[in-house]
Amino acid sequence: MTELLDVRDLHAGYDRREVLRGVDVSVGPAEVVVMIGPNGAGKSTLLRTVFGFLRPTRGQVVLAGEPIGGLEPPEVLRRGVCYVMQGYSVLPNLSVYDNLLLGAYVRRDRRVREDVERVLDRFPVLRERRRHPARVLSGGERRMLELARVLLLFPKLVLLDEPTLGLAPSVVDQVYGMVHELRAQGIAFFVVEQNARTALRNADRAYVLEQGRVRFEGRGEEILHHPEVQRAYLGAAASPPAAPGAPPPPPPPG
Amino acid sequence: MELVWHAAVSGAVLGLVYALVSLGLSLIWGVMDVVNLAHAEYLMLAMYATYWLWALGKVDPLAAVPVVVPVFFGFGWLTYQLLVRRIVRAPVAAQIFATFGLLFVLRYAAFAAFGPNVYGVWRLGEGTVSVLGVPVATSKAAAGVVSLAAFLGLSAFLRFTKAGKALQAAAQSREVALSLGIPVDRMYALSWGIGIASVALAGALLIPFYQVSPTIGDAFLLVAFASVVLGGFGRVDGALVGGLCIGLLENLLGTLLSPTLKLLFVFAVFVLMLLVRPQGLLGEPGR
Amino acid sequence: MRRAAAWLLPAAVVAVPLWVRDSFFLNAMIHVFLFGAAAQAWNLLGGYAGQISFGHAAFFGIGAYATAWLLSHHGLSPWAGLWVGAALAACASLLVGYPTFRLRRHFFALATLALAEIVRISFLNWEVVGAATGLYLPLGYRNRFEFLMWDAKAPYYWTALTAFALATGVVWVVDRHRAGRYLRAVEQDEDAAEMLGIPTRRYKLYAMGLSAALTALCGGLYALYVLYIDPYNVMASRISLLVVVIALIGGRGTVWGPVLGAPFVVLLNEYTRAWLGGAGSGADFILFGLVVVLLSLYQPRGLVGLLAKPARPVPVAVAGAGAEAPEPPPTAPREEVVLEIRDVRKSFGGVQAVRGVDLSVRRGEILGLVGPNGAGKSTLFDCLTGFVRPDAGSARLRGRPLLGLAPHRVAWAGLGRTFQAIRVFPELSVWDNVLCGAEHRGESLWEATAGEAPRAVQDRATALLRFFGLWEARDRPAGELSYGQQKLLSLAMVVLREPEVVLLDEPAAGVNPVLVEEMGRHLRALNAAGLTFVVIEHNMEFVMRTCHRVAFMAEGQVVTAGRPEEVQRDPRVLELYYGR
Repeated sequence: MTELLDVRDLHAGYDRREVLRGVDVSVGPAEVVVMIGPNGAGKSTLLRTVFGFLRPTRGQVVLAGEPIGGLEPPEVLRRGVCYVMQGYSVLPNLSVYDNLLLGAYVRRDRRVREDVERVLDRFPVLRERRRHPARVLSGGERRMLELARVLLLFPKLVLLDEPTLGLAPSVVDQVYGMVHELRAQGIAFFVVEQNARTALRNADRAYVLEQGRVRFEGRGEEILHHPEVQRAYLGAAASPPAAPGAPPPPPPPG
Repeated sequence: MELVWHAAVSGAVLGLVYALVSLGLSLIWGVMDVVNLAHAEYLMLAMYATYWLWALGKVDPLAAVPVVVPVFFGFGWLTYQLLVRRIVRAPVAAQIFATFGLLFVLRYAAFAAFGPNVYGVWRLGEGTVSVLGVPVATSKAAAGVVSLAAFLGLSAFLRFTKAGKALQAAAQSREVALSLGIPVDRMYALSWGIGIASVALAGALLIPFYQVSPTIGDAFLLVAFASVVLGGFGRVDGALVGGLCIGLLENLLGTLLSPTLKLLFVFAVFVLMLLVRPQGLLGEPGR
Repeated sequence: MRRAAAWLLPAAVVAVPLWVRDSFFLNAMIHVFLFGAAAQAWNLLGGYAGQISFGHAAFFGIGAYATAWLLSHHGLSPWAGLWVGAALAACASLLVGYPTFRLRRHFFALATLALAEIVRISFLNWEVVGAATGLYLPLGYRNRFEFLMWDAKAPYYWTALTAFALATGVVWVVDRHRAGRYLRAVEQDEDAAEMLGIPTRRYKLYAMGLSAALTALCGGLYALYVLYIDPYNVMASRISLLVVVIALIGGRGTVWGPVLGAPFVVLLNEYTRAWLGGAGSGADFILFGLVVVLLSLYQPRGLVGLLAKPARPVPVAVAGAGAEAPEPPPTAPREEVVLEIRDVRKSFGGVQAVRGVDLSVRRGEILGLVGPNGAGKSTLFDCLTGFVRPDAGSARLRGRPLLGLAPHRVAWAGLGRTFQAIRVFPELSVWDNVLCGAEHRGESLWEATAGEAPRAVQDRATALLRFFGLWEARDRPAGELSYGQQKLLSLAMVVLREPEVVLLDEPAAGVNPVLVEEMGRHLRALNAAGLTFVVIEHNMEFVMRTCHRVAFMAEGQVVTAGRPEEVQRDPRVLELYYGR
């Protein structure tokens, strides 16, 4: 299978902190790939680097055979990669309709408004609220708006950063429902999640990232039941915990 | 009582122009969180430009607007590209020093070019129009009307055009805007263009009844800051409300108490506002 | 040799009027000293405390007017008048500082600019002080020491030099002692300084008042020299600019910056003006403006930076401090509750970040606080330390309520805290950083200005730096340390004053595994020495090995707390952390 996104030996970080220490991942066309891992493993950094917010210090990012590492976000968007940031990335003081319009900012054709109408047809909830400022939407509705906004660019790949953070369980199912629906139309998803179980159940393939490196990869179900994965989250469960206060150095004077 | 009413009406008209002066300051502040200390120097330069067009080219100040405003739009854009772009994400101190230095470059450039003398446009036999029963000089009334039109125009631009919406997006969240492919940098330049163009418009409107000299910037900067702090920064309506309040306050207190110390009142309001409600009348609480 | 030069140079400067008779030069030097002194005063506020004032012309003018008016209207000697001016200027400055120091960023600069304009306009219209006509100083008092006015230039030269020396001396004293360190800490990271217990607003007001008073003294002396003042020559914004330019070009935040900057700027200014005659009017200020813009863009450290030795780029090795050490007695956490948190709640715009947290911290324990992203752990810390005002609840440290206190008061009450991102003061030396963590409760401004930290505190700081393997790097700016070393340093800073409880926000995040190990050992050792810790951490291995107890937080509440292995086995924890 030819990969849609292919990341090889990626290194990146902030200032002098290297966060990604050689990451290899790939996403096939219309595939839902999930990356899980504890806080600070570098999941968000990976998405930011693929999207062009961060410049890789080493390694390659290839989209459909073309290197995109180091390109600016607008160029990455034009090539069909969208990015939905962590937290709510709606524009709170603009209306739902304007949020959708701006989703198509990089488009230069004149059919944007038609497409916005079509998207609103698909999401009646948003149509109802199209004149409201986005800040009044509920958490689930905001996620819906973000996904709807992405559709205006007809992306090949959508990068989702913790799409279910802070959502009620029923809404989480809705979000993944939308993801699967869009996947059926040929859109691939690369999802970063901390809520591992839900994400893994919804994944075609999954990676576990730990301290800037991929520790495991496999099918979603495989990863879900891998004992080592739980260890990555919950610490040294495999080995008995050492008693606190075991051989420490001398106390400081004073 | 009639005196008070007169003062209120002419204060409101003046307040509209003040609002226009503070609009650009507020816009730039709100969009990119940079306070342009040199803001009022552009007002001074625009007043000179309009004056010289009138003195040398016999162009009526109002007729000069279509020339002055675009030129200053370019001036603002250029200021962003050459200077401000380098300090957008610099420490606050660097931003403060940069626009403070700019203030002096512009002020003393005007000083070197035009000298310390005071210039004004003199039009004999100017008529008055009645505004709410109060006679107001035509040029002042025109200034009020054009200011109001500029506010409506800018609001429309921000609300109904793609560029205006993108500008709002850049102001609300730089990151989200970038993730949508909005060229935030160009939006910042645009906000400088618009901000400086609007203060230049205020300059062209002021020159028929306000004389220009290289140092008038200080007083206007104070008025603009007070308006922005009063109305809440980064908001078009805030600038309007703030400017109107300051204009009214200045004229009313100047009439009722002492005309010479009216700026002191403005300052007192400014400090009081910072103490009591730093987010401004229309701003939402919390930083 | 250097020592001889250090005495000869000032002696030569003092002796100048004895052999130089050129009155243009002496006049220029008097300006150098007076504006240099004002720049030095500005430096205290704008350089050390980082509060950028563009309104020093107002203080200069207030000093000039007070001195001149008291002398001309009441015959009051400048020896008194100068101090009246200084006091008035200090009051005016506090009037601006008090409301604006609560706000950050641009507000202070704006307010000072506004103040200068207001003061100028008011004086321009105030008949009592001569309005636009200004004030003439009575010439009858000349050549009497008690009136500080003379016919010759030399006595003015010496008084101006004295003022310059006084201002520089004040800055030198502040710089050398604790207050200078605290002011620079405030400049670099106000929240971090506050959390170490430094009452930041008090220090800013102090710097402001002192700065305004010194500037007013210069203004008063200037009035006595020029013998005629009006709002144009003592209150114009040019003066604010000149003062800023001197400090910036010389190097702000250093003692010698304004000393170098003053002759450079003022002499250049006076002589170019003389050479250009009337032709170049305004050109000097265009140039100054440009210089300020360029300095802001390229941020060099002024002339002082050019002359200073370039930093040696010697990497500091991470010393494995006390790796093979005798085993300390096992610590048994006592039952005594030292920090009691009850039902703390906080929501932001409808989102409940913390929804009723109850937690008891026992003396002598290391309590781990774990949980998924967005569980409200850092918000809880913010509530406890006064950075965020909780909606409800209480927190008591040894019975004393904490909530509602400003962060520095929380620190005084005995709570310490580190931040998730490293918050050391990058331009202070490692040594100064650690000493910023000294006990600030009951520390008076006077003590801080005139004295160094007590011997015992310095000894403990030394011991801590050795303990953390940072002793060799003590003179280096903290910004040059590696990420992990900065984490260790921030830990050293917070434990220096031995708080009752120390809150650590992700001490092991972003550091390499070796240092994580080391961090754990350090924590246990400090704990063995009697310190109590609450640690937010995501590295569960670290938590399991370091903590006596673990509290698990999710969705704004503490779900369970207990021994680490119990919490780890709790099915709810697995579900909430790992997902349903």
